[in-house]
Amino acid sequence: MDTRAFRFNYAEGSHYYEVDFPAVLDYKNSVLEKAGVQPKCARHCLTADVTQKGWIERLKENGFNPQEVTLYVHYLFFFSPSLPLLCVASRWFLEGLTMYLEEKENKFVLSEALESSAVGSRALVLTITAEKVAEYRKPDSLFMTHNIEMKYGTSDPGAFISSCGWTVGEVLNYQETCARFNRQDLFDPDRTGMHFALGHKK
Amino acid sequence: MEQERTPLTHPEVPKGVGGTALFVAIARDEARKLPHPPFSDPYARLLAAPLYDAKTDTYPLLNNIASLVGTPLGFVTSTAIRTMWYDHQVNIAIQQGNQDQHFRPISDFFF
Repeated sequence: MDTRAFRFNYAEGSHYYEVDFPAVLDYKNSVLEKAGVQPKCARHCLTADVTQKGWIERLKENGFNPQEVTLYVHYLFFFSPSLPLLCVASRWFLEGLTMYLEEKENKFVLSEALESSAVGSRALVLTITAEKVAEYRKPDSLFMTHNIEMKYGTSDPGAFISSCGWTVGEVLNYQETCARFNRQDLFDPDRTGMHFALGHKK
Repeated sequence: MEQERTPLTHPEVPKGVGGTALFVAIARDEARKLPHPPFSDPYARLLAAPLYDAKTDTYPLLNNIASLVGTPLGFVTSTAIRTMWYDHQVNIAIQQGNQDQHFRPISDFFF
């Protein structure tokens, strides 16, 4: 239920793509439309299964183009092939996703994103540890009781995103993130196991 | 694959809207009650409205939800820090703006 397309003031020309299940997007869109809430950028909603081939193509069909070419540059192109094309970096937010996919599915998503990204793009990935996943997968776990199945965890998200081709930037655990924002009051020792990892496309 | 309704969902929430998606909306709304609220998400309440009790300004299901992962407060604070991190990254992207646009030699595309 991400609302960032509605909460931030984006530069003109910014595009925001949301990929989710149809029921989630339909619900969100109907609630926000009914309330008269408007996105502050060009928002595109896509229903796609990111674990299956074709989701990037769906993005491109809906206007995603990491190598946008301005008319100006295009015009000059005819005169000098050494002139450059303008590329626009993307941000890929994987929030509340990796734990519900298998490792190979996560790799597929991140690798596809990398391949379709301009240099300078970033992947922002939330992971939880394998220990937490094991805990949540126990038959008596309330997650399992409520049909919420976690599948993937890692204690080394840096190595994980690196294995998908991204250059690892900062990786913070929950406690470190609280410290980074000087909000130690938001740290709960019972909720350790989260990591926030940043990958760059060099 | 369609998700089954669970005791954590609500009749007014359409089938298929996962519990976890709503849990996060609830936590983001509850974060406004934290000391020095770390962010403002005025739309979280709208999204979590079917589960909201206006009389008590609470989400009666929060305790059930939180029992999945610990305490209600821990659920809210950990979701808050997660939201802060992603929001921070959005702000960085917005501030960098045009700096993220860069040029590549045309030869990259054709040779």
